Amino acid sequence: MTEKILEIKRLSKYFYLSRNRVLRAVDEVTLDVRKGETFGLVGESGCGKSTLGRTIKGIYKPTGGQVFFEGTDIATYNKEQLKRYMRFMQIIFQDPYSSLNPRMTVKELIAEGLEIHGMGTKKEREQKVFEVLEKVGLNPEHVTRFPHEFSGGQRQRLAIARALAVEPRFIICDEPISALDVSIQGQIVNLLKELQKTYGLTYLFIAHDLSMVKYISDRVGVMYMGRLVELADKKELFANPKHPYTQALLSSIPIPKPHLERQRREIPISGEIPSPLEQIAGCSFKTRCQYRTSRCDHMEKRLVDVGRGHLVMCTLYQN
Amino acid sequence: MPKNSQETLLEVRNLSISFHTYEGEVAAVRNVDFSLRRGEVLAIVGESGCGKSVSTQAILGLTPIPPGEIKSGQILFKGQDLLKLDDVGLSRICGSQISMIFQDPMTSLNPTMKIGNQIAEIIRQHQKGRSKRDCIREAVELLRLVGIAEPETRVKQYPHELSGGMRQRVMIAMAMANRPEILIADEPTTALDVTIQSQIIRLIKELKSRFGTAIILITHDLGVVAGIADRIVVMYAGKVMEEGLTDQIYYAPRHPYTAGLLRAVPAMTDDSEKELRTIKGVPPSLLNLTPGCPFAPRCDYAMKVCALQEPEYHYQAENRVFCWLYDQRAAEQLAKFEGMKDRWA
Repeated sequence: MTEKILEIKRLSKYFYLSRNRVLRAVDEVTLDVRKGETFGLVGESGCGKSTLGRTIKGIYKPTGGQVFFEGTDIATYNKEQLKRYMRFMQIIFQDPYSSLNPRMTVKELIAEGLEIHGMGTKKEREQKVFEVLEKVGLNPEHVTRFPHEFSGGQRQRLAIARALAVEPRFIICDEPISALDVSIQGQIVNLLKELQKTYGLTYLFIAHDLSMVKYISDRVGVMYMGRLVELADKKELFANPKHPYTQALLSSIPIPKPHLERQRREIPISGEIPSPLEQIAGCSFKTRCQYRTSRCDHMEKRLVDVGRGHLVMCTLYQN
Repeated sequence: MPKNSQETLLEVRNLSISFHTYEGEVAAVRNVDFSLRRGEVLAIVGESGCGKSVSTQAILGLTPIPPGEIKSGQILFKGQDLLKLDDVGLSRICGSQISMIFQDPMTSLNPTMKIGNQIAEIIRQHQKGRSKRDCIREAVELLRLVGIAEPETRVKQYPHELSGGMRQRVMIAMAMANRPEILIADEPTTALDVTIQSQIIRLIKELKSRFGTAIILITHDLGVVAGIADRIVVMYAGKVMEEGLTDQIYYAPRHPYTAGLLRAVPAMTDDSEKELRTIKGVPPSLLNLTPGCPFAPRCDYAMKVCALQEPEYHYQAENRVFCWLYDQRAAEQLAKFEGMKDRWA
């Protein structure tokens, strides 16, 4: 089995809004990411997928649980090790309009990380800027330009170049293509795939567009209300979803083929996502689930292996 | 589409709209034609900036003038040119015979008014003399119609108390309040999650078959409209690139842009790991348009003429396509494109 680069154990992130109101954005999530793979994380808005990504990166301090990077708990890192971790673990955000400082030139944007991490001499850094720009398909002559002079797709390339410059091992892609036009999305996805091959990168690919996740990922995790409810190999998950939520989610995706779309059988999912502030005992999906039984009220927050690493958190599979 | 419903309800003819900005004139919509027949669903598909929203906003007089300017064209609704109507005339049609829903229901609803009052207002606007209580009662029925649970409680609530999906249902209830003949939906599901999206699309389908409302659905997502549209108009850089019946557009696209757009989305039904076939380059700036076909710089089948002169529309049955490949002299290049399509299929 391939080496695990990232392991998350019962990771939680709660936001305390006031004395009695707790938002459980991430609730005891356990998963591991293997070196060189793309792990897709899907779920609807508010399910905690972005918070999970940010907690892994260290933007949020976890409320509970641990993150192991290359075998060591990142909570035990000293200042220097943490800085190194910050270099290896890069993140790309959804909106390339707000994630790049509008007052910095391309060169400054990309060299910033190199300076912070003290990588190379001034000359070498300059070399590096040109190198990564070329790699992401931007014209190296544009180093003196500002972000507003680029289109959305080009800005996302710029964000990728910025992450790439510091030679990361792991990139968290937080909805990197959602804000882009359809004809540009594919370009960015192809670029990410190519860079993964060249540099042996590992990706955590967070998205709500399931068809793109299916295309890019090796394994996929599904989140619902802060919990990881299902995790499996991509093909297995899309062909054979086990959790009632995943089944409903997959069946609601429109298919861009009229004869299939007209016959698409949807598993209806009643109602809407409850407020994230609500404390639901047991399974958080039970309020909308068609297989609900009394057992769901005391479901253990435990993923069950139903074969070949296909994990599900549902009383239907717990015994 | 039923054969007896061929009557044209709305016709947009030769519409051109520009916006005057500091940088110059942005030609957002250029000589656009399309028509809507009674009871059908017409989808207008395209990427951001292609002019799909601008051209439909003009139908209800929502184009901001200035900076906008309607350079030419007619919008005929039952033979009457909507562009010639004054505000009073438009407001009589707007919300009663033609209504519209938008992408973001939060900004389209009044945050300081109760849901019921907002719906009642639109009924009273067009059906003078009805009592307020009567209208509120009808608002409850409308909310029930669009699938909102406990409508009696909901009418007394404010928009912020509802979820995104429910707000969009309220918008649809308001749009349907006066049983319009045309419903224009501008990206109605883009801001919603996929499970909610399919509920809203199903609702629009139900309303269409129940009331026979003709619908213009504007979207960037070819998946969303595959199951609901009768006809599709594909726009790019302010131009209609192709128009045709739904199946033809999906299975036998005639424009290289349509074909490229369809190939750029990985299909859920496909397990292939091959590199995505993307459209190279980026959409053109509408500020300084070059002569010729706007898609030419990104087109794999572009010929010399494509960059020099605009093509003409080539018609075939229900389809029209804005492309030089269908000129008699380009038969060889067309064969190449057809060959490529076969390999994709």
